[in-house]
Amino acid sequence: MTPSPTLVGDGVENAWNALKLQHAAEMFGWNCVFRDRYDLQQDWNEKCQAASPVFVPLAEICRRYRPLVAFDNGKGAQPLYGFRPRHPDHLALVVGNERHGIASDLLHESDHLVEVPMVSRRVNSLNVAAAAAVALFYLSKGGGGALYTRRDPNRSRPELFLVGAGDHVELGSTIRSAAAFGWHRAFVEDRAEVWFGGDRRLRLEARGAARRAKNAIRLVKAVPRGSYSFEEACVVSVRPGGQPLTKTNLARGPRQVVVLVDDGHLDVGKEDWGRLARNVRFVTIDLPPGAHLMPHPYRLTSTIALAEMARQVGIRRSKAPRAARPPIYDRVLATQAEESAEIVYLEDLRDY
Amino acid sequence: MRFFGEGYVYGLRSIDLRQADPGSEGLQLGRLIVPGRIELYEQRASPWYLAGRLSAQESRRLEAAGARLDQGESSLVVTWPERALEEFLLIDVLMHEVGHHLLQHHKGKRLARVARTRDHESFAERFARRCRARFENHRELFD
Repeated sequence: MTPSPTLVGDGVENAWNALKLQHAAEMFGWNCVFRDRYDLQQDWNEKCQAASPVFVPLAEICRRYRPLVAFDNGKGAQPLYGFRPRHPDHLALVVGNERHGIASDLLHESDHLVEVPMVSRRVNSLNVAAAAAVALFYLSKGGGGALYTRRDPNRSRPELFLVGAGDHVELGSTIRSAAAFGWHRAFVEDRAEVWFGGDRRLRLEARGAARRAKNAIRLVKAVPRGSYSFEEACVVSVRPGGQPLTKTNLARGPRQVVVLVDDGHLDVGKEDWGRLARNVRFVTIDLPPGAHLMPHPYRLTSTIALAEMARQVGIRRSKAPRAARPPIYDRVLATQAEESAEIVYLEDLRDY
Repeated sequence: MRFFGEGYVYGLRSIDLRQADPGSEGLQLGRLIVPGRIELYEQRASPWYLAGRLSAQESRRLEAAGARLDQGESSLVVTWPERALEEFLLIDVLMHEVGHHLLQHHKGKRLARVARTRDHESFAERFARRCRARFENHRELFD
């Protein structure tokens, strides 16, 4: 039996997140285990009908998996983009609690600490399942390319078009990811009325998932099946047959619109995408064979696409540090303005 | 500089006479660039016509150096008799900058501010005033 890498949820407390983590692992053919620190078992029993997740204690995690890759924002973390671990078959990717991250004991045992570079200062984290999906995507591809650096990344940032989301929390998490990766604006074609419509409870849940209190992204309500005049539209989905995600230029600036489709609720092949742009390009999130046959949560697929877009858009090239300027002392004879000045209006000045 | 003694020029690298920066605000007189580089700026011949008015402290300094100040409605005329302008630049301005240099040099030749700007200016001003007093007492030796 070929050993397969494992996703470890360390102290995940929300059962829905645990379920999505399992789904993310399944997408890429990974195992998924948990270390219960916040009564996940009890929350799971209350909320989920699925079989109970596998729980593994710390000692077992340390014994069974090597290398241990901790996936958390922290000091000394290296970017996920381009990260290539040795012996990936026995690898365990550890993601932490939604609020507190990975526990210090497990962090101490880890061999590597990696993170997805965030752009936003206000929304500086992703949903744990969405982040795990991004990590699994790049680790499954052997690291992928490195993060681009540009003089002005925002000039390369394409417009974002979220279409067909069928679940309010999934759309909220996607909006959170978009803000975290530095988007200030997104078009939302809300056909199922999960964001702009719906009852108050759903709206609150959706906005909570989007971290709307901190998330200042501007959401433009797009008219369903409305026309736009972009130069190029890249329709990103898991449907096979398109150009691979990592091989498509997704950093052509505002003349390009990247459409993130919820495959589970919208058939990409039946839509008229020519209404958005003159040129339409289909892009496929290159998942392992067979993975496209099942529907995937929107937050997972859209965040993978957003992470790749953010990698291509890149970060600002850091300037070389300036040499310290020596102190300078000036002796200047400075005059002060008269207290009683005469005000001259322009029309009076013309008469002079 | 020989009049004031060798100790005052220790660590000085250069004293340059140069034209003022045309974009500068106010009338540039002198500058110390740490470490040890003094710039004295070329000045217009007397009289000076200045827009606005000078602060009371600055007016007292110029008058102490021998200048005559005539405040008009919107301008100030500063008239310098005979050698007063030259002495003002050499004693008040130059020694003010030397004062900055001495304080900076005395505190370890560092390329960092060794005192708050206000304290730095106040020390340099006191130093220039002492030099002016010494000069007035021994003016005959200066020539």
